[in-house]
Amino acid sequence: MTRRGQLWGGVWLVLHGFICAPAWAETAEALLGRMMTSARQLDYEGVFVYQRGDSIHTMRVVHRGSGPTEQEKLVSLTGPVREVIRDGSKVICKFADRDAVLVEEQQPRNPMNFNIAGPLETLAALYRLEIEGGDRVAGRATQVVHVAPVTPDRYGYRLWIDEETGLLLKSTVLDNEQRSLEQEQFAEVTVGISLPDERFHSELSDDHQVHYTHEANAIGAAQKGAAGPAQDWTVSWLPAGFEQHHDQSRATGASQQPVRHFVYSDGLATVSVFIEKLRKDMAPMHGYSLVGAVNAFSWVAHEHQVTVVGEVPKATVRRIAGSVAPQTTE
Amino acid sequence: MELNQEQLSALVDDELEQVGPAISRLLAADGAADRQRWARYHLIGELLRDGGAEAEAAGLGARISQAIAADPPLIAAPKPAEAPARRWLRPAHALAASLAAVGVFGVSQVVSLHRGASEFPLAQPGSNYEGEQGDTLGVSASERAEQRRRLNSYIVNFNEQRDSLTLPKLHPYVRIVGFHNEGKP
Repeated sequence: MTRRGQLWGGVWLVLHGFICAPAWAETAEALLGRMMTSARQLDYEGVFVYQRGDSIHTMRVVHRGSGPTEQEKLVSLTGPVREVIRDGSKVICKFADRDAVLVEEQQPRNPMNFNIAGPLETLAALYRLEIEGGDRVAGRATQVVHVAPVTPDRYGYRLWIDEETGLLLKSTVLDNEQRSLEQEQFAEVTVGISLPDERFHSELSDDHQVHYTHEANAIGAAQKGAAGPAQDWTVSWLPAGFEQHHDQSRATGASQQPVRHFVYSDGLATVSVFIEKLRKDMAPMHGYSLVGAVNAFSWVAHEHQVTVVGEVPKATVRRIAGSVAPQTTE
Repeated sequence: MELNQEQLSALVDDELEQVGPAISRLLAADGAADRQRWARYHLIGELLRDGGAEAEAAGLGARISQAIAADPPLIAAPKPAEAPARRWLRPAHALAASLAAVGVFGVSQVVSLHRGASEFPLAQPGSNYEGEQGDTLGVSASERAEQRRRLNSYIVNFNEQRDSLTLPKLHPYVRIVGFHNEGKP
């Protein structure tokens, strides 16, 4: 090949790269932005595997984001028969086994609450975002984004994002030693298909227990102290970048008295602080518990049960819990 | 503080009549637990009086360091009016017991502790772990179930808020649908 031929060959390769692999040109932030939009707006169905610790579960998901409301049906394919159907803020959970979750009405999710620009700007200061390169998941080309925390008080993530659609096809929650705590991965997925309403109907008979159904209002303004513990409370320590998003008092199914609930987030990790007056018939809790990458720490402070739950390391939930105290008036 | 020092000093010097009948009964008891408690009171008195040379000799600092390093998992803290303070020092039992209680009551649960991901022991089918732990803790099965419900409620509430506030990293409700009590077949 002549020198001119080599030159044009090189130019063609560069142009071909830009044309055929637009993801290469995307920054990690742009990919994450696309991922956020896709997760709610795309129509797709697929089968994925959810793994935490030694346990592996297979589930089928059907999702429609093109309709008037976001709809999703999640069905377990292994283990006990379970089904969760979401339609906007309405959620119905059906379980065939008694050994299941959700015994109470929950607060609604409010998709409009999520500010796409805000978290990404904040994330850059708190996490190192890096595109690690390409990989294949469920037969589709993905870009792998590694989200590494700057400080060890929160977890990292590795995200496999579909190059074509931006859909998250695989995700791993990583501890500070880069060990996987929890993982979700599509085995097969079809994106952009027409999904009729029937696909979102329940596959389970009415004999199955309906543990939970609600159609609640959007989360309103904080009902600070409205009916919660008499004292006001402060959380004096939080990891850098965590901001308060909610402060509510409400009764729960497990406790008929109001429970104060603070919610903090850095845009990627979330921490909840629950404060509840200890009654004589309540057995106080003290110590850690764990589900997947979610840690909880409970203790008793000033005759109140304080529990911190978060997708952060156990040392972080413990330190936050230790900083919860009644507000003192000067 | 002055009063406490006086009381503890009186305790150590056998001036029990100044401390009150409850402490007198404690010292009159001859059980091993009571003797340990007495030793702790003595140590506290020594610390308050002269800065703790004896405490140092008794290895108090090292034991405190060990206890901190052990970083106990979930302890069902005793009700203050009903149980002695030493029950706070029994790690892991309450959590394992409350795990097992779920099966008994059919209580819903989110929290699962599984081998490899946690240091907590796990109640196995057919084991009498629950009964043993329940006995040693003095926490009834209904109390454990109530703890369980509360913790579940917290975690479910957390999960719902998480979904609306952060980047979507996992499908909403995946932890709930994928929950499996690993202690069951």
